[in-house]
Amino acid sequence: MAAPVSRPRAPAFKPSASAAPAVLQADEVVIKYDDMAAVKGVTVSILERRITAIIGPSGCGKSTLLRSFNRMNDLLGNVTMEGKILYRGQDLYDRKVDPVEVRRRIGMVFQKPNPFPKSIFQNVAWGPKINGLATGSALEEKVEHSLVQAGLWEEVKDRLQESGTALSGGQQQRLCIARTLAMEPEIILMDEPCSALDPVSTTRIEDLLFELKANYTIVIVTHNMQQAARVSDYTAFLESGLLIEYGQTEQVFTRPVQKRTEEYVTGRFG
Amino acid sequence: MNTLGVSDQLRTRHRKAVLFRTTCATTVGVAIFILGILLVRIVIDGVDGLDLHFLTNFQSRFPEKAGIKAGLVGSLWILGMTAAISIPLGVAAAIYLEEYAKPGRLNRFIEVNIANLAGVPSIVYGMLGLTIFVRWFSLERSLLAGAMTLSLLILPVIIIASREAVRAVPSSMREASFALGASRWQTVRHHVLPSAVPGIVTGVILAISRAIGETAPLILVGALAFVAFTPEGPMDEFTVLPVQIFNWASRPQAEFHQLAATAIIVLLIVLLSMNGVATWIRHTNQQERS
Repeated sequence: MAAPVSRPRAPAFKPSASAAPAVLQADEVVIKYDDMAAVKGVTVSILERRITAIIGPSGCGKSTLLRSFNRMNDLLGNVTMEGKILYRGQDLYDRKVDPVEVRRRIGMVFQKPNPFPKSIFQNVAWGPKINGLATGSALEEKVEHSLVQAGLWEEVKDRLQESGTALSGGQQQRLCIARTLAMEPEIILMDEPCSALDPVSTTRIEDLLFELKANYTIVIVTHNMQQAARVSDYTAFLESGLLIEYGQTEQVFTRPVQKRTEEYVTGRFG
Repeated sequence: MNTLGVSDQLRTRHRKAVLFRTTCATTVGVAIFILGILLVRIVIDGVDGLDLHFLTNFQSRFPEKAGIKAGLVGSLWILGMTAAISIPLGVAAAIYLEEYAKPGRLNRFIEVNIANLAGVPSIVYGMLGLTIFVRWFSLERSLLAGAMTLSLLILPVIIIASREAVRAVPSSMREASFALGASRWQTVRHHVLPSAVPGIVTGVILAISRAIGETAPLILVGALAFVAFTPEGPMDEFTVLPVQIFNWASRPQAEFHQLAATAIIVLLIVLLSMNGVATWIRHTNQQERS
């Protein structure tokens, strides 16, 4: 057991009565790489069909926390977790829960676009195919629909058989989003999805997030505070593995409760 | 002192660069030169004897009648069987160690020891094959015993090369696959393996090339030097090209030395065409994926 950490607690965030229900609830989550704790007891609720941004300086544990939401950390052999993460009341780390099923419902888009070295069509079709969601013409429709949703269809409809890796960086990232959408996940986790992209591609993806919000719950980790302020409904500020502040984005950016938050969002450190 | 001219310090640096390049070029030159001499000598000695009779005749006491048929067919049998045994085993072991086994002390221990096995002299594998396959398993002097012995010999090389190839597949590709709800097997089957194929094929070429030239372990497990028949099945007795070459080269008569040279040409042709096929496999595979 690690020594109890003394820390400034985030003031209990009470969503107003009109707020959406929580889909994901992290409860006192501690995540360690070997003996080094990257996340040191975070309690946070992710609300349905809202965009939640996780911000914080490098190494604050925001990506680690995000990856624990769909059990991607399981793939790294040296990661241990304490605490609970509930998905609609169900413990994601319960022994009876299959991580494959978790990742089917909670999709992820990564920092660096990582399309498969396969055709554009295959990139999107592979997920539904291996999960037995669609075949034949239904699968083709699904691919088209996903590419339309990701705002990529017009650019690639005439070259679906070309390799996904031949696209530009911004297009690749939208292909990765289309690939995730084709699984019809409930939640989409995004780990700094725009950090490798140019401003125009970034704007396109931010516009896309607004459209996706109607149907999906989105959690986005970002280094870019303007981006968090622009796209998110709720913002969580992490520092050194601790949740310093969590609230509606407007409040966090304009009337932060904690001094550290204010210093960070005004650019005085980080 | 703001000139752009060559300072003493810069001149020394340039000189070092030239020296290094010359050293490298010389090394390559020496290697190619020696290989050239070998090839030229063998071709001069052996090319006259290379005709259809040489390929279709069996071994004989009379040099003008002697041919390589038994050795050639035996070598192809041994190669096919060795490949069939060692490639699936080696690739499977590599995938298990890289993708499934937990990284840790045991895994590292196994890795180091596989690397050690790759350096064990082939005669030791011959002894092992003789004890285990020929005696314990009672496989006698069969193709199967020979192929299993050679498989032991080249497995370490295949495992090491395949592990490297699997390890070189970027983890971002695995993550992408897992994030789409793929199982580990689906990830390996659809993404890791296809990306690793070029590297695996390269390792397999190296390993099989080693197997085709091996003589000592096969003599130990009982490859015969005088065989006047071709094997019909995996339990038959056999000989292989290198054993035949060794046999001819160790005879006193000069005619047999010529036969040895001709057989070496045949061996090289088999080897090169095999490598050609493997390179083609690798090439088409890479094109598909880029």
